Amino acid sequence: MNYTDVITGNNINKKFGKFELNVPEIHIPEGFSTALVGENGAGKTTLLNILSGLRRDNDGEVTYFGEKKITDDGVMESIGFTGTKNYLLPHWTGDQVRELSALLFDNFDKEKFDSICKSLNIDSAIFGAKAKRISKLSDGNIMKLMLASVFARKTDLLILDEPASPLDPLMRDLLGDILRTYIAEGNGKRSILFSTHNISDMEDVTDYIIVLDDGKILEQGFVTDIKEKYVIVKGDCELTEELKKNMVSVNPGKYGFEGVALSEKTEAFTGMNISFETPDLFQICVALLKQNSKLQMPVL
Amino acid sequence: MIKMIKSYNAYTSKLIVFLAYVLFPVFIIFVFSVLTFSIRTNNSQEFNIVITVLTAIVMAYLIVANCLADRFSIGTILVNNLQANEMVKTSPKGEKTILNVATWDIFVKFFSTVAVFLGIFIARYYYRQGTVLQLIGIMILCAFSTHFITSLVCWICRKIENTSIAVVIQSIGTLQILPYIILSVLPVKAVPVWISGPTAAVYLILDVIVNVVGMLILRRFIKKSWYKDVKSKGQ
Repeated sequence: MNYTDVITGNNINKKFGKFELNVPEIHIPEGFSTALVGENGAGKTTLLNILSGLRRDNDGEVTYFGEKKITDDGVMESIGFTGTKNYLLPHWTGDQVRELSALLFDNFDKEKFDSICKSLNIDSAIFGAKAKRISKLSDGNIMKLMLASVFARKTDLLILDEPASPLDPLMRDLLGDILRTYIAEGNGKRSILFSTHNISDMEDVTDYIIVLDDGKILEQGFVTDIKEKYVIVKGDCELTEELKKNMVSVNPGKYGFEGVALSEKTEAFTGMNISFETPDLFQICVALLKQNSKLQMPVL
Repeated sequence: MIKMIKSYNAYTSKLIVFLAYVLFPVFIIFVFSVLTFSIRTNNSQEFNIVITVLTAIVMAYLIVANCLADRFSIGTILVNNLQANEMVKTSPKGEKTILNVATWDIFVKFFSTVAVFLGIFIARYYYRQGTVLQLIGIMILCAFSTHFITSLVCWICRKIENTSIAVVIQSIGTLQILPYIILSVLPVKAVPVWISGPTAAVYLILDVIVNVVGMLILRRFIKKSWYKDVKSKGQ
């Protein structure tokens, strides 16, 4: 698929003690929604912080909208960012979020912010004369407020760190609609990069996916290509070492096995009583992450 | 300017602003005025004890209030790195706004310091110790010296970037002003104008130097600690 990059990263490297984020090459396509997926501690937030310009002590180079640097005119203004915490100060009220957003971003629309807050049903007690502090809000309402302050700006790129995590199912569904509308109304010029653990919920809004594991990119590409690249393999025969070698990950069961394999290796299963299915994004991500995961079933 | 004040108030805890910059100065001026008026016929020794104690309280409070305000205000704080929130960091105007808030804070601190020492000036004036010129000299001396020390303490705290150590230094900073408290309560005749004038000028120069260096440290802090731009990649 032909596309241009909204963000291009080369040789990004950052070490924290034993952890090392090492990304030789990363491309975030313009006009699409990109999901960043990985285990806890895989380096998703660090990578998002580097790509959003919050961290700049890494090796390597990051460019935006072509060849621009984060400090170039208009770049930070064009990027809407929300973090998982510490985006808003806990003692602020809703009115202060509105005023400070207007002060800090020229492209912030106060009326649009009020309208979005109303639409998202954000607790109105944080506005007005005897307003509650933000710290009194639930995690979900804080996330909605963060999203409202970003959606009220005219941006070309959204970088959202786990936006769906604290949201209820209804709001997650609405968030998907909002993100799809954002992309659709951008005429190919608006892009989104978000991290998520809710792969199934966010699959409808994901065009491109990056799977990160222990600071390294395991897989990146368009969802349609990735789904063609992998296949679900189900069989009721014995799971041999030879079969295991041909699969990305496999779960043995009482009456057979089920796993994910590369589509190009399906010939290795010829002659066996095996069925193939198209995987969804969740199955592919889990299979990829299982390869090196230290997670084990605990003894209960 | 109004926008700046609005933003400053938004960054800072309203309670701290109210206590440090409104309630306490008004309270001290009121107490000094009433107290000195009521004891103006008493002997000099009693008056000096009262004014010594109250001056000590005022100066100690100024140090604590300024350091607290510094800690709770987003741009100037930096003793507490958590106050640097991501909305400000990701704004193209974030760094400039914080530096503006910090600049505004320097002047607010100075005028609040002068306002508090106005209480001492009024007290001495009622007691008719020295000429108005001498009293103003001492008041300015105290104001400059206190502002210099509070600014110095604030940027030392920013420099070390450690809340626990910063609190200790703030406490030591409070002790450092004892010589100036003694100076401010000496009978005016014992403090010639030639001492208060040049000393005040020296403190003014020191104050300016400390605050200019403080702003440079703040700028470096933003790059280093906010954006973690220690390698200055210029990305």
